[in-house]
Amino acid sequence: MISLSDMINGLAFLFLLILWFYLWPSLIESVVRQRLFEQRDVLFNLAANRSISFDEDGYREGVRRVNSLIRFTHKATWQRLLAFHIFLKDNVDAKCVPLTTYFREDNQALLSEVALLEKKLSMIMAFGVVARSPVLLVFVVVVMPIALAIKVTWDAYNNVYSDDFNKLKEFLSSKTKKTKNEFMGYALSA
Amino acid sequence: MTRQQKFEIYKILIDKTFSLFSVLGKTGVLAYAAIEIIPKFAGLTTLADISLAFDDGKDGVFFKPIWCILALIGLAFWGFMERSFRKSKTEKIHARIRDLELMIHPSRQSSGILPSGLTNPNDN
Repeated sequence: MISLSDMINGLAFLFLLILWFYLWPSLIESVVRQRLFEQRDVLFNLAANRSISFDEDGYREGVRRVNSLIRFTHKATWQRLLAFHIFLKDNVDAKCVPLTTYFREDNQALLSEVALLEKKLSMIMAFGVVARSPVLLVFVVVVMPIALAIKVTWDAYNNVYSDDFNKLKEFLSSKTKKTKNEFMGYALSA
Repeated sequence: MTRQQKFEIYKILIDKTFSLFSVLGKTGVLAYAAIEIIPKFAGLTTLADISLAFDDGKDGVFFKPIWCILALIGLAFWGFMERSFRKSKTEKIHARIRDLELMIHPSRQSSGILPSGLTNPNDN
């Protein structure tokens, strides 16, 4: 005899697998694509408002990049990216240049808007890659807050104290004899 | 063979290898789980008491598995309906947006996915 709870557990586990392998990635793809469409609309609005031209290289390149991201969102997994990075980095002729290089340099407001758009695209794709993978999701949720806390603390420590330590080292290692007033002056300035 | 040709071949090789492993892995895990779970039910009977229970305030029996199962089925049904509705709505709205954008920019480029927002089967 088998208990009802065993039956429910078994079926629930199967459902969980289907959810994780098929339904969840499909949902993440849709979310990522929607966000990418929004960024493509930003570009479109820039051109529609005459900030840039539809025929400009920058616009065409931007739309081309967003379109390929939208089209191949389902291929963006960390395993593929890692494999591409390892095996293909030496065989790429054209380096991927920032999108801002396609626009005129005199319009700083436009350049900063395009740079922001490019950062958003990277963040959206990073979210997609992480959210689709059980391994990365666990890693990000558990390990990243700790790693970030360590990095922030380390940066803060370096920013706040490193200059003072270097100054102190220079001060103490200099050959000239320090007077009490010099030392006090240094201590007060630090 | 030029570097570009090498690049194209490696790209396809890596992509197809991962697609193959992905399909094999997913179906393998699902098949293994099914093979492990389903025989456990074979030839067995269950004395499940699936019934509606009402709390009379004396026995304190309130939770019954039937509610759990019904809730899950309802949730799955709602999710399926919501998603299919969204896809059909996307398809309808997409046509309108495309027409409006074409009026402003006649050589508008398409992303290449299906109008319903799903992956193009040719890109799999």
